Amino acid sequence: MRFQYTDTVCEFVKAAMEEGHEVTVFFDLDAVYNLVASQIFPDQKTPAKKLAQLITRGARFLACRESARIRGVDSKKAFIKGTMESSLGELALLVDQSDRVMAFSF
Amino acid sequence: MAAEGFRIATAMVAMDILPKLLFMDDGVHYLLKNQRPAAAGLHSNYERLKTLADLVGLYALRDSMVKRNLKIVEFDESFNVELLSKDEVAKLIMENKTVMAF
Repeated sequence: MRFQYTDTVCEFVKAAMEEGHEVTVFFDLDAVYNLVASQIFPDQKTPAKKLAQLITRGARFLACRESARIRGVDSKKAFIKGTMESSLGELALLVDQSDRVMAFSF
Repeated sequence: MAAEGFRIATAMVAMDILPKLLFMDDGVHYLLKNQRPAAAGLHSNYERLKTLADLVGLYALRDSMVKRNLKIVEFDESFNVELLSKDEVAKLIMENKTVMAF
């Protein structure tokens, strides 16, 4: 998923969980910035706050460790609480094992 | 973006999950030979694409090629691209459990 779709993803995740589905979101490439807990947007609405609420409600958030590293983001400290470090290998397995896959890219 | 797709496809191959790569619309330009992305300051995906072509095969929508006045001979021979009609693409999509668009 990429950052442009954060709001859409939040709504999808919320709706899917309300329907009783287990949801895992994989943040790859620039999308890892969504998970940085300290960011403050001009309108005071941070994606991290919305995403944190979804984690609290049971969504699994995985962040590509390598994507974070090459962007200078400390994946152990910078992300919102509950985010798990992951890899493309795990993404491949998720794609294979999930009932539904939605890719939010260009 | 195609580069993201190639990256994930490579990871899938590494995990023994073999994807099929279909090029549609402007995506078919990736298949042209004699490209020089470095001249535009871009990273080349040639080696990765060649490896994926060898391991899982590449497909392209014939209509996308024709609409851009391209010919199969303009595609890199080493990619061994298989051209598909719209019906064949529909069948390919139906045969696969998951479709990811980039």
